[in-house]
Amino acid sequence: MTGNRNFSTENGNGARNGTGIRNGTGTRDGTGTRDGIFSTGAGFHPLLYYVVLPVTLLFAAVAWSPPFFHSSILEWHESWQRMLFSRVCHQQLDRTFAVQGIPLAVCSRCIGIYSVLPVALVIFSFFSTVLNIAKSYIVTLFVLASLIVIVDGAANLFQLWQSSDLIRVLTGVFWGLATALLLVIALTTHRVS
Amino acid sequence: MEPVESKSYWNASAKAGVVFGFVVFLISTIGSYITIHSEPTGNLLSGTILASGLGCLVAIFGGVLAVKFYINEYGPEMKIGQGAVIGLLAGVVMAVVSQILGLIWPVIDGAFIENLQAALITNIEISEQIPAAQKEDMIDAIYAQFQNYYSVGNILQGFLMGVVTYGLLNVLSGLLAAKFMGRNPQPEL
Repeated sequence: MTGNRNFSTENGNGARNGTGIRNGTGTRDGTGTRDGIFSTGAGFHPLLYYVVLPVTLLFAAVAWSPPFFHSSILEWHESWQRMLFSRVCHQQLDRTFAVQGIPLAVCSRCIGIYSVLPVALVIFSFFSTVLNIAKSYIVTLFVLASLIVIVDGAANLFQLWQSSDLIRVLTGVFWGLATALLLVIALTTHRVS
Repeated sequence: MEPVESKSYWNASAKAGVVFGFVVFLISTIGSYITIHSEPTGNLLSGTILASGLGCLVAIFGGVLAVKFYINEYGPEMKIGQGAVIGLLAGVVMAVVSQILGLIWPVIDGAFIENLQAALITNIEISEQIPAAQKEDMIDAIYAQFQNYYSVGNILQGFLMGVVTYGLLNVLSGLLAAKFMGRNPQPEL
């Protein structure tokens, strides 16, 4: 026994990768289930189910909830939902979607992010194997999405141009999708079975 | 028998939390002064765009810095769950530090609360986004909010909101940092 024997180095084609890390292409995961190209996600890190998904769902639910609880802008202004996001979102009324006159808890860009994140996490988890192959592209995509949000936000701030709510929500959705991709590859490849 | 090295998350989390708690407070305070010194536009939260936009961007890096400190201290071998916990703790510290500084600053600048309150109320008065019937109520609410600035309830509420927001956001950034900056420990056989 050398103490550093790899016991899980086989990939789906029977070749050894020598890293000791399963690549998920047709190999068994730590729970004894099998990941295929269209992974069922059964081998995901428990953090996805017990932390990341609940957290993103919580943020999405709270962000959408004010119109279901409050009947005036005054109530909205005093609401815990608005206060919860007040540290991380400007919540400007002219840049926030409203339902029957009551604004959501976050601006249009943030509602795009928070809405798409839990949905994308669930959907992308079915394609974790494919996504892991494209890992480097996903990191690039995340950087690109972040740059778009930063540039558009800064341009709006310094009044170089004013984006419509549609553009803001689309940039938010794009960033949310890129973040979900990043989280999915983080929660699938960092495992040694 | 060699003593087992205890790897505490607190050192890294506390350092990163203090740094980012200060930065977040700084950005928030600058945003408030922009609101105070800007011409009223009728926009309810003018001046806080910079604060909240930058604040959000900066706040999520607390978990990243905390993981970096942890790696510097104990080496890169860590699980992503550890990164998540380190991020959570950094977020909690960040909330505490920014909350405390937010309570101290109005003591240093005695006119801060009064000026900010006046700027916000002026903005509400000329706002076109708020129905006229609700303006008086909102002004009363803002007035009451600043009157209760140092109440225990207000402080606890601010702290709780900060812990939830910063804590949970940094759980995500911490685990991502652990994934991309750390290395999964190899099993001992």
